[in-house]
Parts: sequence; C-alpha cells; structure tokens
Amino acid sequence: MNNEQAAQWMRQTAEKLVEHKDELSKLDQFVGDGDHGVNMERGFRAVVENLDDWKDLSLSQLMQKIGSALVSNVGGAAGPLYGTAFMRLGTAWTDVDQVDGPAWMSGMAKAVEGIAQRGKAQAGDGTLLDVWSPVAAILDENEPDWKKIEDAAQTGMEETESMVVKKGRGALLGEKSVGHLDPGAVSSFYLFQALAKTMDEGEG
Amino acid sequence: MAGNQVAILLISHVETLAEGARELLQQANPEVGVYACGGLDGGEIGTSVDRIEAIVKEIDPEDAILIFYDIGSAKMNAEMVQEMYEGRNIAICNAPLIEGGYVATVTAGLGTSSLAKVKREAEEGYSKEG
Repeated sequence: MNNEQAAQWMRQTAEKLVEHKDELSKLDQFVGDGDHGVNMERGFRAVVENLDDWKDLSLSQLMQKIGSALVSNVGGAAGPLYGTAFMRLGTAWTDVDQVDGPAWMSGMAKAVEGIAQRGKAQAGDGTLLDVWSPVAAILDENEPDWKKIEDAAQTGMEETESMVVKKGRGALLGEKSVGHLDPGAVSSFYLFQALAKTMDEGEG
Repeated sequence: MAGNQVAILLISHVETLAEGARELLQQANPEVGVYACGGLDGGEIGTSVDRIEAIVKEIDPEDAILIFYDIGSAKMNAEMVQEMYEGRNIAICNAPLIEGGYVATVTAGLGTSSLAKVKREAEEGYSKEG
C-alpha cells in the first residue's frame, strides 16, 4: 500500500460508513448509547476532508494524522480506540514508503496491542478487537491475501453476536448483550472490507 | 494562582454538565483551580483530546492536574492526554465526578496536599451513605 492507496482506503471506508450509518447507530442502541454511526461518520468525514492537504506526507505521518483526526472528531469511545490503532500503524511504519507483507504484519500487531491497551480489553470481550485481532493473526511475511482478510474480519464481526460484552456500556447488560453484534466490530469490518477493495483495485 | 498546586480538571461528554460540575466544586473553594472540559466543538456530545489538551495548556505548568471523567471515551481520552504530556504531573481519579471532585477540591484547597494525596482522598473519602 502506498500513500495514494491509503487515502483511497479512507475514502472507501467513509463511503461505507455513510451508507451504513443508521445500521451502526441502531446496533449501538442495544449495547451502547446509539450514536456509533453518527460518531464514525463525523470522524471519517474529518479524515477525508483533510486528505488533499496530507497527500505529500509520508505514509507514517499520514497514519498519525488519520489517528489524530479520529481521536479529535469521533467523540465516542471508538475515537481513542480507532485513533490509537492508526497512530500505532504510523509508529510501526516510520521507515516504510510502501507497506508490504512484513510491514502489514508488524503494523497490525502494534495496532491490536494499542487497542487492547487503550480499551483494557482482550479478544473475546465482544469489541472491535474481535475483528482486528483475527485479521492481525492471519498476516505473515507474505503479501496479504485480501479475500482472506475480508473473510476473517467478517467472521470476527459475526462472532461478537454470541459474546457476552465485557467492555464499554454494553458490559452493563451482561448476558442480555448476547444476540447483538458489536457496533465497533461492524464498523471495523467495513474498514477492512474497504481496505480489501482498495488493494484489489490497486492490483487489478 | 501560584504554581505547585493541584488543579482539578473535569471531563464530561456534555459541555453544560462539565460547567455545572465546575460551578459546584468551585463553590467549595474558589482558590482551587477547577477546570471544565465538556462536549465537542459545536456543542455536540462526546469528548475530544484536542479540547482536553487545550485546557491542560491553560493550566500553570507548575501545577499538578487531577482529572475526573464521566463515562466511556472520557477516560480513554484523558489517558491519551496524560501520555502526550508525560513530563507533567497528571493523574486520573477513579472517583465520581461530583462526589470525588468535591472531596478533591476541598483537599487540594488545604494547600499542602500532594497530587497522590488528593487522588487518594477523593477515591477513598467519599461515601454515598456518609
């Protein structure tokens, strides 16, 4: 992935989030406060609006900027979680012009570690980590298989439906949280779906 | 205010809630620096690192800061600012915004209390049944 593809990834993500804004907020009414769609749209709109100004930045700086914009504009708990993930990608890719297999592997490992630290959560808690973690786990030194990544993200998202939520406001529901997809896991799936689409188009 | 005091910073998802809490706590001791950070730009509900950071910059660099938060992202954003300002003496208090903040303001107002002491008193010192 180069800088231009990263920008395209953000645009595709923002499009998907706009398209699914109501669905995300509706999911969040079950396990949160019903504003995940609105929050994510606001965050990624802020990212997309700045992409032209950021086009000459290094990939590492671009990731840092995306992270800061999300932290400052999402407004809900997803802000610091997504923000930290992108900032960690930025830290991991300091010396990288183009993200290849090993860089994806190390960057995503750092991002997952960042989300876990920030949210004091682990995989299985019914959060966005249940999408990020399996995606990171299938990366190795080879160029990522984007179809596999999209599938892993989708499976991770679907599995949150049967989990008892242990973090965030959903945790107050205990067993009652079972039967609902985690909104952060769903928005993360759209993020990785957008990534897969961007990278497939780039190669085609 | 002279430096080396403990300032209290209240972070809430709602601007008027943070302001209202500040007003209440400030009444306990007008000499203590009590700061409010609520909501997003444009009055929307949420918390933002930028807004928290702007207030941290307003506070005397010699002062320690004890942060109180309400729900969800408020604590995570407080932690992000704490990490960004590693050189500053900032602690996050795991006591309720109002009750804990009140005890903290009174304790900080004694003048000789360290950040650790103000945090401890706030976390241990309030009781709903007291």
